[in-house]
Amino acid sequence: MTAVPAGATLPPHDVPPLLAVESVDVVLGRGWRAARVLRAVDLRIWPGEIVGLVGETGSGKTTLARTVVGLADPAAGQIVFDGAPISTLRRGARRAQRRRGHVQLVFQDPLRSLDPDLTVAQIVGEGLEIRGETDQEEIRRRVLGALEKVGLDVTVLHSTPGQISGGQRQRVSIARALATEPRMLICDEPVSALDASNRNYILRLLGQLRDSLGLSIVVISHDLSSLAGIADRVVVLYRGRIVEDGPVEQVFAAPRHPYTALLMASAPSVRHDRPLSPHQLRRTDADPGPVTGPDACVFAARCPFAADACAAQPALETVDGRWSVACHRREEWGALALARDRGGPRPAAARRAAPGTPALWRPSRDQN
Amino acid sequence: MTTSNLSTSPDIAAPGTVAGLRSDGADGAADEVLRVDDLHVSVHHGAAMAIRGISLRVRAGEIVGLVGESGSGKTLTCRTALGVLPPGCAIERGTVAFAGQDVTARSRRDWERLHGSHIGAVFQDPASYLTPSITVGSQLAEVLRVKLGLGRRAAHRRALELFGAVGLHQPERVYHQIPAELSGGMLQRAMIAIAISCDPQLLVADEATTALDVTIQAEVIELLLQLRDQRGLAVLFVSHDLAVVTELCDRVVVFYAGEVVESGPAEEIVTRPRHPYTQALLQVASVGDFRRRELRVIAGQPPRVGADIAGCRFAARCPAAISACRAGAVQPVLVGDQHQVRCVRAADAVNVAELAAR
Repeated sequence: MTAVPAGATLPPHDVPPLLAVESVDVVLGRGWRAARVLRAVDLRIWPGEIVGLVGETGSGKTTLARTVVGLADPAAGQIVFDGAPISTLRRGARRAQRRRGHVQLVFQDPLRSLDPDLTVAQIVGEGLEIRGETDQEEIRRRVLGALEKVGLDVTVLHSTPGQISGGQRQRVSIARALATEPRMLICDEPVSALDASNRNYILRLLGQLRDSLGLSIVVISHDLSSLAGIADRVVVLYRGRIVEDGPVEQVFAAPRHPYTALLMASAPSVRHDRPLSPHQLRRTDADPGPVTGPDACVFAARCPFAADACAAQPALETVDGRWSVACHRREEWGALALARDRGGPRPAAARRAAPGTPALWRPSRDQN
Repeated sequence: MTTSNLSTSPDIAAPGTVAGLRSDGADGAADEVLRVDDLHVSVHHGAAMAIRGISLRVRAGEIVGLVGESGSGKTLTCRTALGVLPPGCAIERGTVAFAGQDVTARSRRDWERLHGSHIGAVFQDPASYLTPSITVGSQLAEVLRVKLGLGRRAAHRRALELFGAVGLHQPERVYHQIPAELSGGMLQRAMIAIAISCDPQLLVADEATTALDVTIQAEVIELLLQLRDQRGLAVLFVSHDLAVVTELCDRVVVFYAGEVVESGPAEEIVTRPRHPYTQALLQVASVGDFRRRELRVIAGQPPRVGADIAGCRFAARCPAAISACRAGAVQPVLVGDQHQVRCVRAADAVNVAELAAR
């Protein structure tokens, strides 16, 4: 690896956070359909920080993003942006806040989130017009500036989204978000529709934007391995609760929550040297019945290490500096997991490298 | 529902199938399930040749992975093998043989006999392949009744067995649920149950795990491995993610712009990739590295679908390209046991990472 560790030093936390999500609950739907999608979510994001938000489908990642930009209302708690509470704003003030474009969303599938009939120039300039910019020359100047920041050539200016490649389209969505000179970008699965090379390109671009513009960026992703490449902090959501939040290098080196560990063990890899197999972190029929109850830990029903204490939801507690975890058994589960059966079909590679395989095929792991 | 136990009930394994059926000998014609030779497929009513001379084979009990960027022809190859080419696409040259029989010129009706009972298929978005208003169980039972001629009761019983076999915990409950009531992972399991319901010899899985959460993806991969071990099922698995492919597959076929650039045993491809494109793919893949690192990209863009290029199709993006690369068509050469590379410099031990660092 010739990698220059980007941002090896974490952004300082001695200034006030740019965004503070304070004990936010979000309820979607009404009456019997009402579902509490986020519970007591506490999250602070400082200027110039890249935060990776991970979790499975339905864990509330997108709802959290929508709540931050004011598209969903918290049922409890509040959202403070740059010192000013924004979740309590009323209609007109809320619209004005949104129009200013200080927080911008970038969506997963640019083919569906960009208007297919508009040209790139119109898409990128639209936010400025909505904000009230009327000087066409100024709009054009800013559009060109935004395209330059994402490394797009002016030749795409008059193309529609259907005429450019997938990677270029995602860069257009980022340029669109940058046009209003936001202070924070929230990217909802920005790379999952892209193949590996374009994925890395976009993530690298986000890293560069942070460095050059001092943006705070939240990246929602399920690809933990790529997040390791750019994020400073990782926040793990499970069923609407934050279960782990900490510096990406520390969390990925030794996760303290069994769900984070399961996510990491399940991530596909060309190496086969995982410390824990997914099997060691899943419940099996041999485990005692799951801990359940109205107040039980959100992960207890899936957790093979759940004990009596887990019948009460653990609070997010600081374990080390900026690292916090919500798990009653954070000190014990690691040893228990190692003692469990690695189980299941062995990885394909382990089978292939069975005795009798020519020594020639033995992997030399570090060549890449 | 948490799906942790993937046990497949042994009593419904196909009669006569033995685990480890595949022979690793050079001559495997006897147990070849799928054989594609020099396949050329045109798109846009003959305007462009999207697939240019693909050859591959899948043996019984073998999992073969097709990997490459979007637009490289993986999915089109799959659809040819399934006999469901989209409108405007046609086989221009070459053959596709299923269990020794050429199926390129089959009629739609002939294909229908193969579908389900001999070839099963699973795709990226399970919800769009199931009827939303009919219970999942009756959709599976319908297949069993039409394809195997089972009676109502027998179909119901076997459907439950199959749901159990793919790791759905409460088969009876799932049977009576409609697709919208199941999670993505459960739906994909139900799709796999339908695909294997008539004991096909070949399962085609086109980006079957791409839309799933990582934890579910890992479970589905384990399920496919188990089905292979227990039933001798052959799988043609398509993904753009090299990491997923190496988790699952015995052999890997790397596609680039409509050609196979490298193919061989998965472990060999991952540890000793010979084609510069494969090496580049490995550098950008999620290698299971959770340390902070520089994210790499492959410079340039793939050529337009069907573009006519003299010589190597990757040369324009290849840091190791020399003038010979652009001189004429490059033929695949054998560089190891079943390991083929389509590269002029196959013998030069090219290392893209070193060249890029220079």
